[in-house]
Amino acid sequence: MNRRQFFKLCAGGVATSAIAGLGLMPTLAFAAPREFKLIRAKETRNNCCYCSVGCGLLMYSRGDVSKNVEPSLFHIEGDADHPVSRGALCPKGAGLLDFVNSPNRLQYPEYRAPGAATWQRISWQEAFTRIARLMKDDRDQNMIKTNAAGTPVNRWMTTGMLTASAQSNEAGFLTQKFARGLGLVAVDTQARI
Amino acid sequence: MTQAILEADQIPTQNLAIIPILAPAPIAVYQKRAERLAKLAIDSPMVDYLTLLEQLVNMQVSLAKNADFGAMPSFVSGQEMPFSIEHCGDNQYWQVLLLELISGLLPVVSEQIAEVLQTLGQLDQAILADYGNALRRGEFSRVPAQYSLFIWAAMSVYWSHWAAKPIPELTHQVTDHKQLCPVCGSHPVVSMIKDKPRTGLRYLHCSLCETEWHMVRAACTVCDKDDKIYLWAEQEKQASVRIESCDHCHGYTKMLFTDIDPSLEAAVDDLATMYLIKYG
Ligand code: SF4
Ligand SMILES: [Zn+2]
Ligand SMILES: [Zn+2]
Repeated sequence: MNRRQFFKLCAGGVATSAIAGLGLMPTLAFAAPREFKLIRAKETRNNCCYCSVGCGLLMYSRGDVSKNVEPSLFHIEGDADHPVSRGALCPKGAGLLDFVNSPNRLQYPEYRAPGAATWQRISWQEAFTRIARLMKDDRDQNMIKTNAAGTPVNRWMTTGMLTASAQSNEAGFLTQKFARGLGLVAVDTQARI
Repeated sequence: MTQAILEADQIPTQNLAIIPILAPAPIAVYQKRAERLAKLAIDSPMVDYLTLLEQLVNMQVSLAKNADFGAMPSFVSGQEMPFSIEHCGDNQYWQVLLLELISGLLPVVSEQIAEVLQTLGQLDQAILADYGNALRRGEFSRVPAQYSLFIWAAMSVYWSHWAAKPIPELTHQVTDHKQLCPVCGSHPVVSMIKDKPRTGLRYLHCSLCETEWHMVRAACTVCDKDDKIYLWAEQEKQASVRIESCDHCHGYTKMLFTDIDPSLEAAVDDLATMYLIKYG
């Protein structure tokens, strides 16, 4: 007998434990003691992406993915089965729900001009163009090609780069190639923050 | 789950390895069960049944403490489910316990139950053996309904007494199949979400020998798939009883969160929440 058949039997009145109904249990046991409604939540295992530890999470959301209802996350907790974090979360991870559902969450690029008090929304294209322009100008002005002895060094010391933490090896490799290819020396990662 | 906040010096002293199988401590298990039954009997419309169960479980406590369990059942060390009916055969030592159980209960139960117990106690050994085996194989309809509870209770005392013995020899190779008890091959009653040995881990509780075995959360206890798992509860947060269902095989398991409500007991609270299943 497999579990499926067993559950079918249970549904037919024979329950999962001896005291819950092998024989003598009154049908009263199936009567609800009060009005109740069951709320359904999807349970998903995932990882916190806010540093390189990658702690395990159990995430609970409302909404039915199969019916195209936008799922909304309402609870996150540490995953006790996770081999590294073993259920623990740091304060950043424990507050993840607020990050995800925050009304202040950054969803598009914004720009604040020097001296200005307000941010203005710009397009991704404008953002890329502006960043590229500033990088190029700074690099053209400050790139150090050789040291005092005349040895080629190709350092760009006046700009730094902060990279993402939750990257695959391949993405990490590309990030490194990109940064070092430009001559950047000051490269750091969100993982340390 | 409650999130523990630890002092810095506590962190390295924790033993965090997952213990795959928790051997039962039968006396403590039955004592807790009896206490829980007594508590639930207050104000319950099922008071007669719960009182009978409490008397029965109290007898299990006294048997677990004092009974003569005879020689240890033989088993092949390291074998998968060493005490399953397939591997351990037709062990009938529990029948001695059944007779003690009956004589202990007779003076305290109602006339109607006493009659049932008397006829049960006079049954032929071979018939009792057949009933016991039928229950262990899940062929419940082959056993007269009024006898099953008592037969199961006696078998449970017997197997929970010995369950701890083969556990140290069980390697992960033979306990990878999580659906059935790694010791006796019976079905689990419920999933217990533990506070100890480590908060938040899920252990399945054996319906016969009271052993508990670890199974990863957020995965189906029937088909092992993990991408369509739903939890059902009467409230969104901190519900101490939930049902985990799987949209692949439509299997389910009841989950008792002892980190939220430490008084929950596997068998009793399964019974106390039968109405939830009826809903599904
Ligand atoms: S930010 Fe905190 S919770 Fe997230 S992965 Fe890093 S240590 Fe873990
Ligand atoms: Zn068992
Ligand atoms: Zn399933």
